Amino acid sequence: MSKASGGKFRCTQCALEVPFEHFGRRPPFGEGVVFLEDAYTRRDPFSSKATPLFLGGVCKICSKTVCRMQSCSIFYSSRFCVECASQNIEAFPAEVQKDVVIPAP
Amino acid sequence: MVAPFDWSAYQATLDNLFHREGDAYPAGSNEYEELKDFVARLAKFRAAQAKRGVEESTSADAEAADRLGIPAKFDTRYRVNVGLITDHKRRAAQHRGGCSLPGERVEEYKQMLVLYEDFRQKRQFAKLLKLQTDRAALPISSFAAEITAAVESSQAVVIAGDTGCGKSTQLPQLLMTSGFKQIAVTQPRRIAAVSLCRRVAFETLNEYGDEIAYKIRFDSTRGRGTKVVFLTEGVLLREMVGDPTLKQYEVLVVDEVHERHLSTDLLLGLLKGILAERPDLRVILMSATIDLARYSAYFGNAPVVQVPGRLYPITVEYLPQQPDDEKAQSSAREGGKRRERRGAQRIDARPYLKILERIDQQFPAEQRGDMLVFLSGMQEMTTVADALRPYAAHTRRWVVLLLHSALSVEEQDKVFDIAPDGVRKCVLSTNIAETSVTIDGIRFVVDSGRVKEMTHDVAGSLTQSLQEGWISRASAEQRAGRAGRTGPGHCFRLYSQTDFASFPEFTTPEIRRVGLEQLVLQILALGGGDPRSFDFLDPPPPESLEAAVRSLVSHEAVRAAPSYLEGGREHLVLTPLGEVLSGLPVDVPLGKMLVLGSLFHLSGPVVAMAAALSVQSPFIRLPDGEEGDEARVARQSLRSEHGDAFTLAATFGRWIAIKRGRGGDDSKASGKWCKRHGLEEQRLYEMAKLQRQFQDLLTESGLLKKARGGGMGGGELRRDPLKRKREQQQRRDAQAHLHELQRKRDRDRGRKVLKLSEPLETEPEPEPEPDPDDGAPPEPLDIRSLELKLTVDLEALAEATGRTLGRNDVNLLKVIIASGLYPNVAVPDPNNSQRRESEALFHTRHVADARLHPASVLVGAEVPPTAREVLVYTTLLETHKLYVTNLVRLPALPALLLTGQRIHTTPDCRRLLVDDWLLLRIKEAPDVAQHVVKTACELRASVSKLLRIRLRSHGPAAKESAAAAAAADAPDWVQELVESVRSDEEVYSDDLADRLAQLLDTTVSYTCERIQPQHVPGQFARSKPPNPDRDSAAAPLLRAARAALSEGDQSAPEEGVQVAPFLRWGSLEPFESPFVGHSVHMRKHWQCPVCGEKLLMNLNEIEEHLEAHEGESKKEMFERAAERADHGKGGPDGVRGLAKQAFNGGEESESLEGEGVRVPVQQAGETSGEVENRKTMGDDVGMQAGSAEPEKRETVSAVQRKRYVCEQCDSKVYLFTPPQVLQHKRTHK
Repeated sequence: MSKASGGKFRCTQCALEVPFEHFGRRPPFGEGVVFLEDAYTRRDPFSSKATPLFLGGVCKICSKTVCRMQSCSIFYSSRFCVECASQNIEAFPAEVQKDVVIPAP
Repeated sequence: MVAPFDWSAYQATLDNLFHREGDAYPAGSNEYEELKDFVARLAKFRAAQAKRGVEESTSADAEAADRLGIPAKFDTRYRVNVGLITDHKRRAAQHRGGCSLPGERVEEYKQMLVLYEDFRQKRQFAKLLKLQTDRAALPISSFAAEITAAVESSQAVVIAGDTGCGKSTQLPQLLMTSGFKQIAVTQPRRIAAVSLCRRVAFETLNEYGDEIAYKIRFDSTRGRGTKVVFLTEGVLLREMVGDPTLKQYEVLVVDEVHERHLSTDLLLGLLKGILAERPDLRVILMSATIDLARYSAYFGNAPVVQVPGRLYPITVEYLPQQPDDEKAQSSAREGGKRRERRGAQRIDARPYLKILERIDQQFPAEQRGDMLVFLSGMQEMTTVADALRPYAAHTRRWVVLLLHSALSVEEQDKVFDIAPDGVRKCVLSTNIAETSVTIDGIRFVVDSGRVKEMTHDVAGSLTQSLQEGWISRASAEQRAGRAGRTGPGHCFRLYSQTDFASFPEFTTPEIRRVGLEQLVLQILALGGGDPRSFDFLDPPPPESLEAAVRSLVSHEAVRAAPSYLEGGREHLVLTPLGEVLSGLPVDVPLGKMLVLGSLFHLSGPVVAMAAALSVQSPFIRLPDGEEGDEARVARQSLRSEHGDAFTLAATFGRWIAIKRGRGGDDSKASGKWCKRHGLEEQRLYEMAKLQRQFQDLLTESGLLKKARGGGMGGGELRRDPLKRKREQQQRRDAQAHLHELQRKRDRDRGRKVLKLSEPLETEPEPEPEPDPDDGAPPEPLDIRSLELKLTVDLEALAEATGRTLGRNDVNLLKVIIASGLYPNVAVPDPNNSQRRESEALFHTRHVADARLHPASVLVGAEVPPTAREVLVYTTLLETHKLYVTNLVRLPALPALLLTGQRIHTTPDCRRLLVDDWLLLRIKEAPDVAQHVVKTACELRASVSKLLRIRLRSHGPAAKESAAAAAAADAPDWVQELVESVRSDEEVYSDDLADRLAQLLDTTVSYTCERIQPQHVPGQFARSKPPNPDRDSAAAPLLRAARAALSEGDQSAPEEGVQVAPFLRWGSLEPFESPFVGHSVHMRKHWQCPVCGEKLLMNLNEIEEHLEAHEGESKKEMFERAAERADHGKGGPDGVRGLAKQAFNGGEESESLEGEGVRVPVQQAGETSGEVENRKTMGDDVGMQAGSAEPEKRETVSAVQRKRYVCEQCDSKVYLFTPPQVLQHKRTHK
């Protein structure tokens, strides 16, 4: 489940590129912080203590790597890229629907 | 109405359940404080929501939701992707007293924690995004394509960008994205290399990998994955020794080219040569927008990409300072960058205070904007800070901070912190903030227009001096520009517009103002050919280059060898010493000290001294009066009468002993000790680091045996393998701990909010207000302490520095120091005894009237430097007055004999002229004098020989076998064997060391005086007397007169024998010129010692007079003198002495014995008896002859009268004494 560090995290939606350190639910750095999805994380460069910073995850439907920006993906019990979320918009409750960004064709 | 739940009432319970050490948000952490706010706001929001009534959450199409495997019914919790593992349940259970909070509230709080973490995650991610977008917004980003194209099309590219355009941080990233993998970026300063590396690593979010690395002397983070390495120019030059074409790099970026350090110019010259050999190599010069055409032209019209800075408009206001001496300003008008000594008064701080007041009046406190003040140096900064601080404290609108290169990185970081609302930072800085350190948020710049620079007296000595002068126009513009980085700014220039117009256009590059020894060594070591024909961007003054070569030759680091290729023309070659010195990134004097120190097994103290002389003095200037008395008394125990180097080394030794002595708590103990002695501990840490570096350098060059084990008691590691293992583990743990601490420190840094009562520097805080929030332990101390333990073998160091120095050691150390520092020699003024101690004057060869630096231990020495002593110094410091700094005292005679570059002697060696300015008179019999000179010479030759042998034996082959033995971890006895095979001259060096040390204790009696340059030529013997037997009595005098006439004629003396490169024997006129003070312009009373006539003559006439005596035979003269002496009161002793001197003057024989009077026996003939008598009187040489009484003239006997045929008076014949002849001649004129 948990993959050791390595390489660059690259969002397939917005092309953001950031080196990540860990992929998985329980990053080795950070005290007690766990993620409810397989997460690309790295140590928070802005924090004085070692704490994980979530960069993005994997779309449950298309398995593409996406960052956490709302214009790229949405989390609702699982991560969905904006493409898949908008194609399946009816599956989400209204509270979530209003946050789903419809990507420009 | 539902009131929001008051969580803060239960804070203690919550802290116990959720916020212990090791939890996600431990109490007291930044996150914890933020969380409390978050919780309170959330509680309020929930209360408001409850009031509105809870809305029913909606459900999605159940089937579709099921298909995706997501819950159909909405809950905010499903939107959160993060969770927290907490231990609160167990803790609550443990807490028997019962939890004051009901269980569901505890769970609610836990949910709030999760929401907070989610909020935090989003915010931090936004920060990360902003970091990336900010980069894209930098001016240079829009030039990315242009730069990439230029680099593709041309081998060399010049990128010009004003500060703030982001070139230093962005270009390496740009190159990386263009696909380059081996990028080197040079920086002029170590600090810049490290901080840029951190910055770029941070921006590229690579701070945990090794993709972005730095490499500075002895510290490198470079790894296999490194793509960009920031290094100092010096480190890159060192890499070129082993990799002359820099094959390991694809791109070389030379940053801050406009600063034009010595190493920059050398690097550019070498790179220019490499480009032809490596067509694949790219060189990028990065510069401020200064003098671009020159760089472009130097690299064959390299393309220039200009990136505009991000500057807002700046209002410049000239505020010329009237009272501040007009002299300074007028001289600026005349000569631009001419240096002038300012009056004794300190800098006037009032203008600075006025500007502060004005800003407070003109600009509302809510308008942010800090102030940056450019001052010339530390002392000025302190003076101004002292003046501004009361105002700052009173108004509570300013925080005064200092910034200069001697501060540690942590201390420097303080200027980046944020001032609280309504308060402005006032940063007093040297020119370091001009280009190398950028502070954001500066709105006001105050420019004193002054700068202190190390300059080098090119014309004469190789003396470095720190001199103050006006800045260049380019500098002034840079300084002003600092005000417009974040918004429109103001610049106050404390000089007039006319002054500004008279400033030189650019700052003089270092190559034109500093000593070039290291440069010459490096060019030779890097195969750059003859430094005199090196292709410089800006050729140094030839005389400066020549002076450097001469100095290196005299230090025996370079020698001239005839080149076969160039048809016998001489070219320069490094000696073994020069090779070692070229690899030591220290000044030649220090390098030589280090080499000699290891040669004589004194590397411990010498390394400590060299380190001490390289950092700022740890001794804080103590306040006058009682306040500083305690420290003054405490310091007495550290004080060494031998000089500053000894005192500093002793201080360092004591500190190390304390560091080693205690267990874990040493930082406190040493801190206390430093405080008690008025010491700046940071400087001692720096010394320890340097000490280690020097040690490493010497080991690397094969001069020292490799110390095994490194830090943490390497000594015992060797024997017990179990212990060794354990210690290694401890070491690893400590290392990990250190890294953890360092990281934490780095992250904690961020930008803090400054406290108003921020103490200035190390000065004690005037308000003794205890700050309850400030109970945190001084963390950097612990890091420093730990760092010290890891990098330095305290055990070995304590052994090396704690060793008590015997008399011989002290003497030998003095010789070593003097050999390195020569010609930095000062002698006391003869009238010092009549002056107050602080007014005592000292003279160097080229500079008169320097004082002892107030920080020197020789100020207030029990025995002030005597006339028989010389002082060697590291720097001639020119501030308000001239100072010699870092002094060591030595007896003049042995010191000068052992270090002087050109020593001339009389045949009897009783008078010596050293480097044309110091005259030594040995008041002993000639054989004693000769013995001293001979001994010193032999010792010197032996040292040279030892250096050659020893350094050659440390050449590649020997080094390899030793290194191989060490690497193979061979048993000790094998290594010892390798050592002993090479050590055939060890005994020799020990013996030599003893003899050198003993020479300093010589009991020979002598005097030492400074002579004026115009009197130097008169000291030399002009021509060899044809034959002493036939030499007339007047001949030596005549020679002296002719010498005096040819004053200023600097032709090399040709007399005597060049015994050694530094010693010419017999080249001084055997008896001292009696014509000091005579000139061709003025007649002066003079009594001819030959005929006893008292005359009023100028030099020309004296010459003529003596020429007339030339005709007399020596015998005649002798007889006459003898006769005169025979008359009892036949003349003053001086006259007889002189006459007698004249007889013996030209003699070059081994028969110099007794009182230096050996009578030519044949001529003495029957009168030998009288000669014997006069022997006892012959000691006195000099001008006393002039004091002869008039009646004595009558004793001139008829014997001396001669027939004289005068052609002008119809060939009349006279019977004249020689003076009468002259007088007669004159009547015809």
